[in-house]
Amino acid sequence: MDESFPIAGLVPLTEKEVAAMEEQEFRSLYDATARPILGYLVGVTGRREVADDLLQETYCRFLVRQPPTMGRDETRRYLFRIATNLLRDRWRRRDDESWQDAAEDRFCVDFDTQMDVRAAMRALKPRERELLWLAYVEGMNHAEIGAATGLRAISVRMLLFRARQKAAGLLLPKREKV
Amino acid sequence: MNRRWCERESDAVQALRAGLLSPELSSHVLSCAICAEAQAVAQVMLRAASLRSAEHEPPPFDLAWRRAEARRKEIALKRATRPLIFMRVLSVVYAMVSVAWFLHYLWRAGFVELLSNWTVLQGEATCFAAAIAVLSIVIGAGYLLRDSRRTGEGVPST
Repeated sequence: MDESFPIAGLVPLTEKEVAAMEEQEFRSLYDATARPILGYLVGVTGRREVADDLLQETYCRFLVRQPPTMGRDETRRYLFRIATNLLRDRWRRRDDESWQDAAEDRFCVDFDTQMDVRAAMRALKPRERELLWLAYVEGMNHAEIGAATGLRAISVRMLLFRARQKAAGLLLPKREKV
Repeated sequence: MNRRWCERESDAVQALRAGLLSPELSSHVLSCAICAEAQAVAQVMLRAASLRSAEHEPPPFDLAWRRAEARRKEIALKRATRPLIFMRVLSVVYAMVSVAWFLHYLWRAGFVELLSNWTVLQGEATCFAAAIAVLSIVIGAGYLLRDSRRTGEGVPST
């Protein structure tokens, strides 16, 4: 039985209690961050089963590495960084660069929007999908995208500009092309 | 469009996400082609993402937790068996050096001459000891080989 956190005036916690506390902390982190990261992974890969696997691997790596205590936003960016690295690993192995989506369409309220976005995603490169999703769905600024992708802010600016132009060409011609 | 970015682009997207577009920002978006394009793209992507968000229910947290636990155990096991792997490599190197030395010795001494003069092997007790040593080495090596094949990682399963 190990004695952990021997803080004066407090009863030392047992190893089991420490593990339970860690699990509880992890659960609250997971509840707060898993949905946007899953959305990002599905949005970039277009495959739900791949996204589920990558999501689990993201949190698994986070737990195994045990990074030093970070703030909420920093932890969120760190998780996006791990997820992005996992996506890159897949594409480096040439596992599945193409965007596929086997989702059911009958539940879609706005069918046109869904079809436009799917067609655009298929036409975009993986990195362009990543940048567009982080910038416009997650609302990250250039510095935050840089932290989440490992790119420099100036590169993000340039790549995002190109990706946005390409996406606008694909998404907006039928609508209000700027 | 000569400019490639606008410093207010993020503000324009954030305002769209929050649904709070101030009159000042609104007039900027009307006059800035970059912010207008960013907002238009963001609007379509956000709409599609929100429509799909109901389908994005993450798997239970304990799946990731259990996977991490298993990975931690695997790493701890690899760390614990590192000295064994080191000893195994050392023993292979030692065996190879011994065989090389022995062959070199035979070659220099002259094999036939050596055998005719070597009376050590004539002793019954020496032959018995040599047989036991060889048998032990063969059994030990066989066990390690079988064990590493079973674990599939080149490390003993214990």
